[in-house]
This record gives sequence, C-alpha cells and structure tokens, in this order.
Amino acid sequence: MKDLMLAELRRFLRPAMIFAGAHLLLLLFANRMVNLLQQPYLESQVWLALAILAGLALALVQVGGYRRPAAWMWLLHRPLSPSRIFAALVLAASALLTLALLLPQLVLVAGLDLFSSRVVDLRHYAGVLLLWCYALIAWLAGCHAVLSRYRLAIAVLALPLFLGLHLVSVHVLWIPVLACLLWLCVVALHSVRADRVAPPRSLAALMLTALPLQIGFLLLLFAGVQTAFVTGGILLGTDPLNSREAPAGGLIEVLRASAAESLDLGLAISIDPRAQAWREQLPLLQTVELGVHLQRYPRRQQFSNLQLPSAFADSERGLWWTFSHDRMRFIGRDEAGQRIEQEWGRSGIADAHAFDEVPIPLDDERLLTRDALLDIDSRRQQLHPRLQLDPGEHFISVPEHAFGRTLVLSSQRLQAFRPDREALSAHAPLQLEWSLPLPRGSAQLQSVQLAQLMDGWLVSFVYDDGHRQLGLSQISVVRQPWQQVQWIDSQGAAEVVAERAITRDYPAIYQHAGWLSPLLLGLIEWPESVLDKGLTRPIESEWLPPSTPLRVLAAVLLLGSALLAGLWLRGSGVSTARKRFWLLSCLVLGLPALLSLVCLEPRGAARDA
Amino acid sequence: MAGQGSGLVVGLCALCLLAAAPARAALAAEAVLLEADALHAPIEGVIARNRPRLLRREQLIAEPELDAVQLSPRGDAVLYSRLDQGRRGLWRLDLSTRQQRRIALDARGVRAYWSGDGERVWLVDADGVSVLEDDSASARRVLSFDPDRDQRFWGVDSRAAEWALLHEQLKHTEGVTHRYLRVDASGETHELLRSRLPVRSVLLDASGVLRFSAAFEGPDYDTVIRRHQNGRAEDLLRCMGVETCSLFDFRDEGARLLVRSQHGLDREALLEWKAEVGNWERVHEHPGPGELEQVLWPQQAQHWIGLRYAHDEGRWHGRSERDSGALKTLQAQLAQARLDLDSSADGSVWLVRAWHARWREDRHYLFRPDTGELKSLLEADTGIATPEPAHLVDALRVHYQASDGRRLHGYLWLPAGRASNEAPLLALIHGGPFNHDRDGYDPLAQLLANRGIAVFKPNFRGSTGYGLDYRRAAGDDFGNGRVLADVVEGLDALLAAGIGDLRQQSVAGHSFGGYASLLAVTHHPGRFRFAVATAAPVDFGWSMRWIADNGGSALPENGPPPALLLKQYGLPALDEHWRERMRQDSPLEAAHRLAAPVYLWAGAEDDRVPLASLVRYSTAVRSGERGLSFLIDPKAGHAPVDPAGMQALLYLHEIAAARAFSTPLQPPSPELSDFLDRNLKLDAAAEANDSNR
Repeated sequence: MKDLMLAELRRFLRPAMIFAGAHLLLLLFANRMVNLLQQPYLESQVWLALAILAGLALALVQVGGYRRPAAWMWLLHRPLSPSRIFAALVLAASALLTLALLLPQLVLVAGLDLFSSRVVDLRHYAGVLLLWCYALIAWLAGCHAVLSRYRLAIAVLALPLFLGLHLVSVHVLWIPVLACLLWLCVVALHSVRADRVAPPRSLAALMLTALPLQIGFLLLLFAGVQTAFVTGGILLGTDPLNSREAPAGGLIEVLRASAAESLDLGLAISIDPRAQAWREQLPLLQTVELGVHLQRYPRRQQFSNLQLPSAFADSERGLWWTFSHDRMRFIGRDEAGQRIEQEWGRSGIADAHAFDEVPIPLDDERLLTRDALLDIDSRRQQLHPRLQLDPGEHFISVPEHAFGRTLVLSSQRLQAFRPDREALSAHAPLQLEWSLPLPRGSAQLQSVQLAQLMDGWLVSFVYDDGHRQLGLSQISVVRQPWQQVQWIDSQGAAEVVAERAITRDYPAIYQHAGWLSPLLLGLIEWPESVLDKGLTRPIESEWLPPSTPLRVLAAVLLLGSALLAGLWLRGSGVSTARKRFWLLSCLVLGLPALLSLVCLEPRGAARDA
Repeated sequence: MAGQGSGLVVGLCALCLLAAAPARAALAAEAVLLEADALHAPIEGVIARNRPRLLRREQLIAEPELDAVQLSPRGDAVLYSRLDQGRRGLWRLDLSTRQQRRIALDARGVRAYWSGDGERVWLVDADGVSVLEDDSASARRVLSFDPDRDQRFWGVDSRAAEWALLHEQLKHTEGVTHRYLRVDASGETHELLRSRLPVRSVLLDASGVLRFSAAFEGPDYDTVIRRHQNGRAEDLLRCMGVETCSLFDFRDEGARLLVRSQHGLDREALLEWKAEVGNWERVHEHPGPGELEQVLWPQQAQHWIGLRYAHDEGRWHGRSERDSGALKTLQAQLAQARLDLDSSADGSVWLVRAWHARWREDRHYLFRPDTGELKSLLEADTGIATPEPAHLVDALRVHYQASDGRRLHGYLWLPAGRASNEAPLLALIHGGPFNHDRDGYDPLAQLLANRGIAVFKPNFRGSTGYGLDYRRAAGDDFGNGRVLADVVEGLDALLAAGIGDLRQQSVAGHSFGGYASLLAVTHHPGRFRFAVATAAPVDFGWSMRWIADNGGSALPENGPPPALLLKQYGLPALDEHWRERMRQDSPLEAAHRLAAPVYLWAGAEDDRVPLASLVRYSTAVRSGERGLSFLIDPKAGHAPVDPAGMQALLYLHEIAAARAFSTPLQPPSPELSDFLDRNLKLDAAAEANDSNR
C-alpha cells in the first residue's frame, strides 16, 4: 500500500509542485490587489471553485488513468485488498492536494498573520482546511464518477454542494463537511472493485451511493423542467418575464413598477373616496421603495464574509478598522500598514467590551447590529446608539434616509424616525414619529413603498409568491402574492385603504420541486432550517407540494416510479432484498430514485451477474 | 394727470420724496395712485423708445463675473472674485502697481475678509480659517473647526486687527452654552464671552478686549446692548422682539457707541450713545419712507461721512458740506446708478459699487473724495453677451393709497415702445412676506418688460425697509385680506392711472409671492388671465406650522425658537384659530373656485415649502378641471440651483405670458426642451388658456 501510495505521489509530484508554485504566486498577486481574507463570499467562490476543480481534475487524471480494463486489472491484481488500494489512492491524492492547495494557502494566511497588520482569525485557518476538504470531497466524487458505469454519477457532487456547503460558522461547518467526506469516502471506496460495472454489493453502500445521485437527479430534473418551461414560454411568446408588458395584475408587474406605480396599482382598486386624489398626486410626488435587502447577518467565525462591509475608515486619522471575529472588536491599521494598539470595542476605542455579534459597518459612518443602529463618531472614536429595536425584533433592511427621516424596516414593523431637533448632540437617539406593524409578517415581504403627502403618508406592503434565493439555494414555498396600502395621518394613525391579491405569474409546478420528490426536497432544505445562518427572515420550508393537483401528480410519479422500477428489476437477477430496497426507494423518493436505479443497477450487468 | 374713472387724485411718483405726496387726506374706498409730475418724463421716455429686440433668457440670468469686491483698509489693494471658465477665482489687485495675483483657483464656498490693518486676509471655508499674510504667496490654515462644538467663523472686527472671531456651542445636560472666541493668526484662541442665549454681535478694541455686545435675552429674545468694562457688563439698550438692533462701531475709547436700530423709532436709523450724557440720539433725520441702508464711516474718522436710506433712489446724505460736496461730485459722475460705498480706514479712497436696474453686472470704481477723481476699477469680460442697457428698462417708484388710506409703495417696470395702457399688467409679488423689492437689476422683471409687459412689484404692507409700523400693519392678515387687497389695489391704481390693459392682468411671485398670486386668482375670479406661483405655500397657516415644526433654511441660525420668531412677526403658527382662518382663505381650500390657468413651480428638495403641498394643490385644481402646468425641478430647493433650472423658471413665466397675452416667446433651446420634457409634469394650462379667451 505504501509503495502504491508513493508511486502515485511520484506520478503527480512534479505537476503538483508546479501547481503549488503557481497557486502561491496567484494568491500573493491577488492579495496585493485586495484583502483576500475579507472578501465577500461571491468573490471568494473563485477559490472554492479552484479547490473543487483541482480535486475533480486530479481524480479524472489519477483514477481515470486506471479506467481502461487493462490498467484496472493491473491496479487491482496486486496483493492488496481493494480497500487498501483505495486508501493508497486517497492518501496520495490527499498529499498532492495538501501540497498544491493547502500549503500555499496556509503560507499566505500564516504569513499575513505573522508579518502583516491584517486581521487573521481562526476562521481563516479553518477556512483553508475546509477548502482542502472540499477538494478532497471533489476528488472522491470524481473518483466515483470515473469508476461508475455512467458519467452521470458525477451527480454525487450534489451532496457536498447542497448538504456540505453553507455560510455558517466554521465550527459548525465541520459537521456537514466531515459527514460529506465520510459519506463520499464510503461511496468511492465501494467504487473500487474488480467489476466496476456491477452495482455496490451491500445495501448500506448502495443506499449511500444512491442518495447523492438521487439528490443530483432531483435538481437536474427540476432545472430541466424550469428550463423547458421558460424556453417553451419564450418560443410561444407567453413567458411573463420575456414580454415587454408584464401581465396585468401579476407580481412581475409590481416588481417592474416604480414605487409610485406600485402604490398606484394598489390604490387602483381602493374604494376610499380619497384614493383618486392620491393616485393623481403619486406621479408628482417623491416616493421611496424599501426592499428586504438584508437577507442575513454575519455569524461569528463565518466561513466567508457576506456581501456586506466588514471594515470602516477613519479618513481623518488615515485609519482602517477591520472587524476581528476572534477579538469581536475592530482592529485598526494606519496608512503605513502598522497595527494600532488600541481596539474598537462596543462603545468605541479602548472599550474592553467585545461586541455580542458581528456588526455591519454602513457607508455613512453608521454601524448596524441585528437590533441597533449606531453612529460612528470618528473624531471622538466613539459609538453613539441612534435607535434600538424592541427585544426579539431585528432589521430586515438597512435603515434608509429619506424625507428627512430615517426609515426602518424591521422583522415586525415599518418605522419612521426623526432627528431630535432639541437634542444637545448630533448623535442623539432618533425620535419615533410613527410605527406600522407588518400586516403579514416579514417572511414573504417583498418591498415597501412610501409617499409623503401634505397631510400624511401612503405606505404599500407588497408580499411575493414565496420564491426565495439564499446563496446557492432556492427555497420552495408557494404563496399568494398580496398588496396592502395604508394611509397614515399626520397624527400617526394608520388605516387600511386598499388590499388586493396579486396574480402569480408562474404556476406552482415551476416554482416548487416537491411534486418531483417531496422527501428528497425536504432532505435538501433541511440544513437550511437547522443551521444557524443568521437569516433575517425565517424559512417557511414546505416539502409537500402546495396544491392538491400537484400532490396528486407527486403521488402518481411515486407510484409510477415504483412500477417502472419493478419492470426494470423484473428478470434482472437482483436479489429480493435489493429489489425491495429499490421498490421502496422509488415509492418513497420517486423519479430520482428510479434514475439512480437505472444508473446503479444496469440490466445487462445484472443479467451478466 | 387726471385719473381714469376714479375721479380722485391720480398720478405716479418715482423720483419724488414722500413729502411731495399728499398725506391720508381721506380714507378712500378705492386705491389711488399718488401724483408726482416728475415721473411723467420717464414714462413718456419709455413709451417713446422703440420696441427693443428680444433679449435671450440666458443673457439675463448669467452669473456676474465680478463679485465680492473689497477694498483693503489701507486703500492700497482690492480683493475680488472673478468667474472664469466655470471657476470663481479669488484675486488680489495691487492698486499702486495694478498687478493682479490669484489667491485661490476656485473660491466658491470661500469667504475672504481683510484684517482691520490690511496686513492679512482671513479666508474662511466650511472646514476652518486660513490666513494669507501680506507678504506670503499662499494661505496658511490656522484653525480647523471643531464639529463637536459646532464651531463656526463669526466675523472680523476691523478695530481688532490681529484677530478673527469664532462662535461655538458647548452642549451639556442643562442645555447649550454659546461661547465666543477670538483667534489670532497663529491659531491661538481666547474666550471673549459665553452666554446661554446667542450673542448677535460684539465690538472689540484694538487690543482684542470686548467692549460692547448685542445679545438675546429673556423669554422673548429681546436684544440687549451692553458695555463691557472692567469685568462688568452694563445694559445700555433693550430692543424688543424683532426690532432691529445691531452694533455698528464705537469711538473715543468707547465713550461713543453707534448702533443701527429701530428702537424708539419707526424706521431703522443710526443711533449714537454718549457715555457722558448716557442717552441715545439719532445721528441723522431723514424724512423719506425708507430705513437706513448704508453708512459710510472710515475706521479712523471721528464722524460719519454719508448715509443712504432704502427706497430713496440711492441718494447719499453727507454729514458736512464737505462730505456732501464729495458725495454730490461722485453721484454726478454716476448719475443713473445706485451706489454702495466703502472706504479705506483713513477715508482717502472710496470703493464704489454702482448698480442699476439696467445693469446685469455691477460696476466698480475708486473715488478720491479730495480730488473728485473717479476711476474704473475692474472690467467684467464675460463670455456671454451682457444685455445692452438700452434694451433694458428702469425701475420706477410708485406710491399709492390703499382703500383704507395707508400709503403704500412699489416699483414699476414699463415696457419700452408700447403705449402704457395697452400693455398687459403683471403683479410680481415678492416673497417673505417680510422682505421688500427694490429698484435693482431683476432678470425676471426685465424679461417680462422686454416681452412687452408692465411689471408691478408692490411692497405691500408687511414689507420691510419702510419701518416697523409699515411691517406690522398687516397684522396676521395674510389670507384673503389686507395684504392681498394691497396688491390688487395697487393694480387698480395703476390701471386707473392709465398703466396696463384692464383685460390683460396677471400675477406671479415666488414663495409668499406665489401664495399671494394663488390667492389673487382664487379670490378674484375673472380678473387675472393667469398666475405663476413658484415655491408657493398653498395654505399659509399649514406652511407656517410646518416650518415651526421642522425648522429648515427658512429660519435664521441661532435665532429665537421658530414658533416665537414667527409669532413676533405676526404669524402665530401654533394658534389653531389663526391657522383655521388661513385654511379657509387658502388657495387649497378654494381651489374649486379657480378660474384662471395656473403655472406652478416646485423644488423637489425644498425644505420650506414641501413638494407634497404643491402636489396636493395641483390635484385639487385638476379635480375641478382648471388648467394647470406644473414644473418640478428635481435639484432645486426653495429656488433653482443651476442655470438650466433658472432658465426653466423664466421660461415658465414667459410661456404663460405668451399664451395669455400673445407676447413674444424665445423658443426653448434643446437643453431647455430636454429639461422641460423631463420635469414639466403637467401642462394643461395651455388648453385652459385657449378656453378662457
């Protein structure tokens, strides 16, 4: 085993060293251009992609080299069990990935930690190790795909992508990552066998191999349905997004509308006698739209930064303050790159109290936490609380300045605050002018539109159809879009003046994957709801199809899959236990299970067996 | 000249003094234009001239090239700003060598002040104070304002040549303490005094010691003049509420104090306090209607040289025969112009800023009173052609008697080459309302006159510049009452005197003037062909309450609380009954009665008259199917901030007049067309105008 491992190492040592050198140079160059350690996750994806592609490429070259029958026979026909051969391969791959990926990144992080004033936290070291894990996971997936009968087996990559990749604390992330690693180890291990065409022998191995495939197939199927739906709509000229005029009364019409137009759409059906006069005023008034742009808050030791600032500048002193997740304070460096001795704590500089949570520096010398807005007083190097939300309430949008007020959209309310004109300090707490509860909570809130009139305010709340994109994940919830318009008088009293249901532009079958496989969908969305991702709005994940027709369709597909599985397995020579397993899988998981059956239990191979 | 139909004494007064006019001989029920023969010649002259060529809007509104011209106390140099390729450079002209040196490339936002000895220039911007020494090439920053203390520049006292003055606010749990400091050229500061309420002005002696102060005091924010001596403060004068009260200067080591004030008087004058007798005396009696506007008093002179009063045709009054002689010599050489005068410290050289209703650019001269020599100082050389004065018209003074007998004032711009009784007549009403129109250059009045319209600018009661009684005479009657009647009766008087075509009347105005215009077309249906109301409150009571609640640029910094200030001016913003009265009279409430086309203008960023109020009014008007055009300038506050916005504002007036009176119209440039396409939100006034004909 040792010899095989060393032989594998020698086989790829030179390319790995060249890769490592190029990788290090690329990292150093990139680090000169930007602060790599504080890059938001979208920008950091290039390094994740590099790790995954490196792992996959190594697997394709390393294991693919043995794919020819003669080479495979040569590999396996040695006095080593397949598991030890697999171990030799995986250990060699691990070492090569360590050399090519881990070492250059560790050199960079440790170098920045030791020799620069940049903020380096535990999460950065952990992040490097996690990237290495993703590379190894990709290698394992690639190994399995290369050795499988069907190239579609690469769909096992869906496992790490959907179950193991989350923007959570690195401490928590180890759990899904190690689980994926272990899982794919088992899958890949069972791929290394004399008869590569034959399905995994043990039921446990079969199940562990099949499930990632099934997840992958579910996603492929749903993407295919959506693509076909959109393409068909475009060809027929019925796609609501691909038309110049959005369908009247639909959600797209509201999304494309300006704030004034959205308010007008809401008021169009109002029976309030003032509505016509308001509608006439709207095109002339200044209006503002608040979107629910704050999807999540940064968590401590998060794997990567959100698309939010993590530092602020003190231009007067030429200082740059970056938040440290280890210290839970801002760490300063000057223009010469020297570290400032004092740290910026909860109340300002030299405050020993660490922040309770990771704050978000905003671009106008303000700092936002989940429930508080603070002014950054760079002159005095202090923080001044401007407003504090009630316990249990948090911001779902960055407070916006408009109409001479600060407009706050929280998980419970829309509020308007005014500066305290009598206050002694420019940083005095803001004064609440009026507050409006969110009529249907914040979960599906799409946007809020405001217009200030001579004698009050018009406020429109638009609720969407439930479609939500969180990073790479789409959450399948189907809701009825809805709009409500309220009138707030000069005393701050609110009154509903219009309500309407908004038409869904796309059918639920396009939006909800549950009809394809309710249980698998539940499994995919499960981590989203159990992992602490700092979401500003709760996920209302629903794995059951949202309507009776879709539920009937789901049942038909489950039964049909089981029926087709039976036909596929009939006369295949597969053991009864395996047949029962497959039939049950198809009955419970539906079409994706049927496709995995086709991949893993080829009829010809079974007959041959 | 006989009145046309009124049967009363009718005439026009532009050059006469108040003494020439009859007093309130009788309380007439109709407005009367008071007679003065002297004005006949100018009017006839105006009519006799040929119709001028059409002036271009951009010519009329171009920013002056030369600005902020200041003579050094030594009389040897001049500071000025010059517009060049969009940048306003700050320059220093050496009067002996005629050498010019640029101090700052672009001095927008920079204010420059000579020190009292002329040794240095204080340069002030938003961030701090810099000093330019006489022998140095560039300015040196001596102090950066401390925003924590809201620190600001507060002025330069010519007597205390070494220092500039600063104001800051120390905020603490018990409130605010106002602190006043002097700062020297090295940036070192020294506290002069501190006060709970703001101090309005101070006078220092040559060693930088505080000698006199004028400060707010008490719940009504009275202004108290104090002498500071040996660590003690002695009250010398208390001006009540909104009476003007500002320190001017002192002489004889503080034994004589000069103050500009309305205290004990109706019209502001220069008062002198003498320590030996302890009483206040007026230094000059002036019989005219206007208040003191300018004092010429060299720093080193024991006595003043000349005084100028508002609404007095720019006449300067000398103290002695010698002074009067010098002033007459000067005025004879610049006979048409109004003159602002400043002097070197020894009085040997005067800086003359000459302005006139027909001059877009002020003209600057140096005058030596000993020899009577007058030299042109700086020549403007703008890229944009300045309209020829011959194509512009004079502002003529008018006085008329309101129906309640009060003598009122105003100005008149008559179109050249047109019979006065055939010209459309437009009342252009000033804002404020506590403000006044004068006879200087006014691009809008000149534009309208150039298009053949007689423009009447009434200084209705409530206007400033004519004394306390005149300003207070309106009381709180700013609805469909006395102030509106003053405007309408002014038009009546002009029409009765044969000025303006009875069938072609209109109103226009900015801010309060816009409000008054809307009141006029609302409460005098059928009389006016159109109204142009820009940044106009549509319910005066609501607007005053809004300002009281929201503050903003309408209010002076460090003045009385908004509600108190408004109340002292006769606008009880917190009084529900008054607001209700204003609401009932308001253009908004009576929008359904509107019968004439209205042209509205609003600045989207206006913090005095919120856009929403004008939008509401536009809806109310449209629901009654009256014609309305509405231009919203997206960048503007209470007034346009850029040339495109200014041009659009002028165009709005021009097209309103063209539609109603068929007066000439300069077609909009492509840029202006684009601006109008984007920002002219409604333009239904055209159709309404057609239907009104």
